[in-house]
Amino acid sequence: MAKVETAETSAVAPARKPVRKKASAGARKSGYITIVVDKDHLLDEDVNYNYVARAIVSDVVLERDVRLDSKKRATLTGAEFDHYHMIVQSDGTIVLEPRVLARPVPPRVLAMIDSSVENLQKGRAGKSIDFAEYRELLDEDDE
Amino acid sequence: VPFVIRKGVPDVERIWEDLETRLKAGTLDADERIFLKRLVKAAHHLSQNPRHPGLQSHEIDDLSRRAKVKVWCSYLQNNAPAAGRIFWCYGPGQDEITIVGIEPHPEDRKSRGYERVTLSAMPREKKKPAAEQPKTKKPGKRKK
Repeated sequence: MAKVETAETSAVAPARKPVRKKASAGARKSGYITIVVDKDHLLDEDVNYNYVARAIVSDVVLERDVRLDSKKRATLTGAEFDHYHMIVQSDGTIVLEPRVLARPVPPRVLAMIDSSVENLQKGRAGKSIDFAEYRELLDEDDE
Repeated sequence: VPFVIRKGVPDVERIWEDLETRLKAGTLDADERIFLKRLVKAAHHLSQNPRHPGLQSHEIDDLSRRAKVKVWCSYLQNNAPAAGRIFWCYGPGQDEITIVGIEPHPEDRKSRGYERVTLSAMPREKKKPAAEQPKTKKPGKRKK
C-alpha cells in the first residue's frame, strides 16, 4: 500500500484573469491519492481549469494490523507527529495526514498590520524612535 | 547607514506611547518593563542591521501577499518567538523602517491550542533510517 504525500493545492489562472483555485474537497477525499496541483503551471482557459495532478509516493516503512480496544482506540505505532488530520471514507478507510502546529498571527495583530500598512502605503508613518531616550533600558543587562 | 525606525500608525504608535508614558511615570509593572526593554532593543538592532542574527528576521509570505508589500517578522528575544514578535516593512522613505505590528502577549500554549493547527501545512518528508522492528512480546497470562 502506498502512502501519498500532499502539498499545497492551488493553481494560477492566466495573467489576464487572475483566479486562484483550490482542489475541491471531493477531490481531496477521493481516495488514498491526494491531488497535488502544480503551483507554477499556468492553465489555459480552454482546458477549463483541469488540475495538473502528480502524486508523490512515499516508501512504506511499517505495515501492521491494528485492533481497536473496547473504547475504539488504537495505538499509532511509529507515529512521528503529534497532530493528524483524520478523514473517514464511506468504505471505512481512515486516512491520517500529519499536521504541524503553526503560530499564526492573531487577528488583532493582523488588523494592526493592515491599518499600519494601509497608512504606510499612503506615506503615513509615526514618529521615529529616538534611542537616546532609552539609553538606560538599552544599557541594562539581559534578564 | 543606520535605518530610521518609525512607528506604524495608529496602533503601534499608540501602544508604544502608552508604554513610554507609563515608563516615565514609573507605573510599568515588571513584565511590561521587560517587554518594553526587549522592544527597544529589537528596534535598536533593527536600526543597526535588519538582518541581525538575534532578530531572526524573516519574510512572512502570506502577510506580504495580503499587504502587497514585503512584511518581515523579527523576534524580540533571541531564538524565542514566544517572547513576542514585531512585524515591519521598509519605508516610507529611503533608509527607513516602519514597525507595522507588535505581538506583545502571545497566546498561551495551552489556550485555544487547537486553533493553531494549520490544516494545509504538510511538513517536508523527513528521511529516516529504516524503521526498527517492533518488539515482539511473548503472549503472557492476562491479569484479572
